[in-house]
Amino acid sequence: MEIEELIRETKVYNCVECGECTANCPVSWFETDYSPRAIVKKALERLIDAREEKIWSCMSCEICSDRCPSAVDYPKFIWGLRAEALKSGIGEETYVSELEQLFLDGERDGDIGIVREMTAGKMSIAGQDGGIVTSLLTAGMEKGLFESAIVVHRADGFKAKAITTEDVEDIIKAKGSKYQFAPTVERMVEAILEGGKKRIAIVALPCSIYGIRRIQKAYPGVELYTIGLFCFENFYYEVLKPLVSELLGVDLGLADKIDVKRGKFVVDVEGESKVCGVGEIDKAVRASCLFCTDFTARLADISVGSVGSPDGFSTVITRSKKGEELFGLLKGDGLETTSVDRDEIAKLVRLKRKRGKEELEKLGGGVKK
Amino acid sequence: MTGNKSVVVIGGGVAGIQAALDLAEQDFKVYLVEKNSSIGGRMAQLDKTFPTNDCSICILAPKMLECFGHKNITVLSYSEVGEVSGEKGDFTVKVRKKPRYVDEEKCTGCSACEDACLLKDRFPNEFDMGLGKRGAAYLPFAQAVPRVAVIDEKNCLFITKGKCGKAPACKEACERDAIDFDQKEEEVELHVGAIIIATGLDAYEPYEIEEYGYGRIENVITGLQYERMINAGGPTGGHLVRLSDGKPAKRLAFILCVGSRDLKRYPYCSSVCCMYATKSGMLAREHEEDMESFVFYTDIRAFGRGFHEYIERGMEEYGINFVRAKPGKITENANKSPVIWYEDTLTGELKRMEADLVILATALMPSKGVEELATTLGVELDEYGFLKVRDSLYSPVDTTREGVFVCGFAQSPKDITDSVAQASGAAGRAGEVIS
Repeated sequence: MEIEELIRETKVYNCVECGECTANCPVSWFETDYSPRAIVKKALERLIDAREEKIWSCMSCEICSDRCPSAVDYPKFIWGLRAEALKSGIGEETYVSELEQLFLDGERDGDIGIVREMTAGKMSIAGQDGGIVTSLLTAGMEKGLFESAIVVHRADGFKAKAITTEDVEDIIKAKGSKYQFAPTVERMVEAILEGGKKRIAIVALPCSIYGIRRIQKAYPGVELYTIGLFCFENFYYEVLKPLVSELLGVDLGLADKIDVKRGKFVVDVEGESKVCGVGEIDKAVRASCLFCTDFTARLADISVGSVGSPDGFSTVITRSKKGEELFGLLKGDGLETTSVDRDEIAKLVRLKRKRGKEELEKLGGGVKK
Repeated sequence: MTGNKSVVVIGGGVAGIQAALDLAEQDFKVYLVEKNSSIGGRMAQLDKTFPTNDCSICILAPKMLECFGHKNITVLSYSEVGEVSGEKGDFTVKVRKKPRYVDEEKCTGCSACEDACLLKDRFPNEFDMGLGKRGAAYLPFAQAVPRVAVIDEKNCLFITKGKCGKAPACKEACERDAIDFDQKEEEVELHVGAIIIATGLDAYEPYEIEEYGYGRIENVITGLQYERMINAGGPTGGHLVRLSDGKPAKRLAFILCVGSRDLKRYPYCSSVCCMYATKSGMLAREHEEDMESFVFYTDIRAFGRGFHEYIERGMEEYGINFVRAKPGKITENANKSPVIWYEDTLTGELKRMEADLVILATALMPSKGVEELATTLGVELDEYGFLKVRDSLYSPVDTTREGVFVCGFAQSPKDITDSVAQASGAAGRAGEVIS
């Protein structure tokens, strides 16, 4: 897409330069030369060059566009620039591998990324699958590996709400997948800058883990334990809720659990499971998810997800010594393990990578579909 | 046109009062209908007016009294318009007069009932924007016109439960026997030649803008709450205090365009906030020498005569700091002080600033109930809910229905000066219809 067209389509000309985007951008607080406002201003002055590194600072959290009073679609604008960069042969790999080298330590699997250990695990505590994430956090907190944990609660029904806590009870309450983006990174920035926290555990989606690593690179003074969740895509709650009510006749707000498994979207509500195809809720998918190529949270210390494991188990991938240290706490503390179906994971990794690449090429006008 | 030389003015704020007085002075009969228990509107709540920094109620109170006492004006307070029929020159307007459970003729406004009420200081006082408290029997505010108490039927023990001690305390306390629990809603039918709408504004309560913490962070308030707080007659006696601990507030941060100029909320400019925030900073400095004020702006819209100079005075003489930034969010630190996260868009630096009080200049919008009123009157609203005028250049006070006129904030955002000017315009046009 030509820059003129991109500016028009993402309403960049609406910008009144109020700076609300940059003030809300978690990355901007640490990468001081990155500012959504400044990028947009440069674009309006036709001074933008898609090949510059700054466009890779964005982690697509969409907080900027969410809070922009002028309805500028920053994430799409940035993706548009990335699509342009791609034409010059510049892609995300350079930036991702730089972060891998900085923070991870293990063998490379062509699909799954850096791996130290990969296993299917299960704890006695209830969770989405194997209760692994909850157990990692409670164990790490009790052992004093970190002082705060950033997790996602349910608020107003099933809406995701990111919180920072020192309380094990809060961690337990955070169990279960929400399938929505929650601004965990924003809470982390607050915990660091305002709360003065030095040791933090954070559970986040692959896109957020990328942002967290960029922050960590710019600000090494904080010790982080990052737990990444497998993620194919997420949904906008405001769109998903009415859609679920229309398709399945249930109030998502009352759901006990939601799950996306093997192409199905499952809502457990009042003892019943309601099911539809994931394709049927396409229009609730977050815009940025379409361009994302990271299924397994390749930059996390530990990645956790259900794909690749039998029912009731979670796939656990440790990618760094920190991850190994944290996962080690569960071993000998009731952890049950079994083997992982690597190829099942790889299949989804490839599927997501293919979609992300195609969508970005489409945005760049490179591939006409 | 017809022999009917009377007008209904709906809304008893400064615009409605001005229109009523203009017409009454020309010997037309005016019915001034006000939904609240006193006339005065928003201007009565303000501390000072810009750009002269005159005392707001000192200017308004004489007008309120003049209006109430005028031989040609009947003030129908605590009343709402119910039904309208007829046409230009010959309207029938039905007005519902809500029971205030106090006899307007007998009550002297002595406030004995207010002091006696068993529920004294139990409910948020609307006039003080919830900062002060009132009982179930209360006087709306010190300069209320009519100066008559009102009993809140949603909360009064005797009305809701049929029992208040041995006998209703207010009734016992009233020496004039003005308390009347038998009052019922009355309907008044008026025959008028023209109608003027002057229903004014409400302020947006920004609970949904979660990142600014209103309702969650105690020391985050709105512009109208600040007006009440700095007012000597207000709930803190004019002292600026932190709501979290009652300690003096020394560092104030005003955030402009909260919910306004926001395409997802109120896309238009409220038109008064740049000026009132500057005024507020000035007044703070006049109260205490060591006050610090910061005004966070996107751009300064000081468009009226003398307005730009006023902003400059604020900077130069009062030391107000203007920061070009729309803050991203407000968090609360361990002292319960709000912390403002912003990008200084002049330098590109990201900063955090602690304040004692954050004052949100929230969007101002047509007052609640205007949609229903528009339906009743058969007039159209614009895309934002303001009264539509037939031609903004040539008939700026004519609504889409003949014989019905509009003035003040109900028509579009504007300050007191412009509201009063437009009110005289509407009075002039209404006068044409009925003379």
